[in-house]
Amino acid sequence: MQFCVHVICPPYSQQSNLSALSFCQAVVASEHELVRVFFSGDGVWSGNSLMVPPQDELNLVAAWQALAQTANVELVVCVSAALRRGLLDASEADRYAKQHHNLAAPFVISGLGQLVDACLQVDRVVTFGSH
Amino acid sequence: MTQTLNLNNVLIISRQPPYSSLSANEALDAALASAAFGVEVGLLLLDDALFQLTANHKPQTGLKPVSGLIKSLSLYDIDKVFVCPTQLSARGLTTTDLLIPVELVPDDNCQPLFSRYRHLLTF
Repeated sequence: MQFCVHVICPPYSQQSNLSALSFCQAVVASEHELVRVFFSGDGVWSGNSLMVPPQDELNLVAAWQALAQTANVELVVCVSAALRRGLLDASEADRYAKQHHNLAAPFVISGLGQLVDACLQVDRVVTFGSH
Repeated sequence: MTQTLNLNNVLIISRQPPYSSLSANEALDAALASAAFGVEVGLLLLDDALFQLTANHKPQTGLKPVSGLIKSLSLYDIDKVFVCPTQLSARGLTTTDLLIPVELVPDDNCQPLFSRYRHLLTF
């Protein structure tokens, strides 16, 4: 079965982000396929490369990166949610004349169309929401 | 599952009031984006999300009234908007207070509605 995971919850401040990561790890460890993780709302902070948690705590951005690299999963950040919150990649920083960018590779910025496309493609879309 | 897999539709479920977070806007954006991609969209408004449908919003400066998005739903052929009657009455509302026509679904029996859609996207 093919899955898309939709993450709305922010890292650290809500358990749900870690639950989403654990769910994704379980899917890729199973016979099922994780096609895409789509981050919107405060979930976009999952791709913040400037995250520096204490060394003896889980580094969530590194864990998401590791998931993408080991399992070939797309990590897509909603463009409107990201720009509004100050999460930029190099080309968006250039476009809006900002001196810095902070989106961790291999996260990519794209539109809601990526979530719609996933809905058309996969068997299950699983949302990890915010409260 | 086999019944719904061939369907090209999605039910967007919004549960948040219009201005306490961006959730309402993001749910409506997802509805409009889905419709723009040719997906048939249903919209289920639960709990305080019902206030997204009321008229005459005057949010603080810098916030856009959500009514613009609500009124644009029909332009995208999103005419299946569902609400639960007891949740309306619990908030002192009737369908005549709402900006757009809605379909009433019993709030203790949403399962038949859910089963008509291939995916549910909750905000």
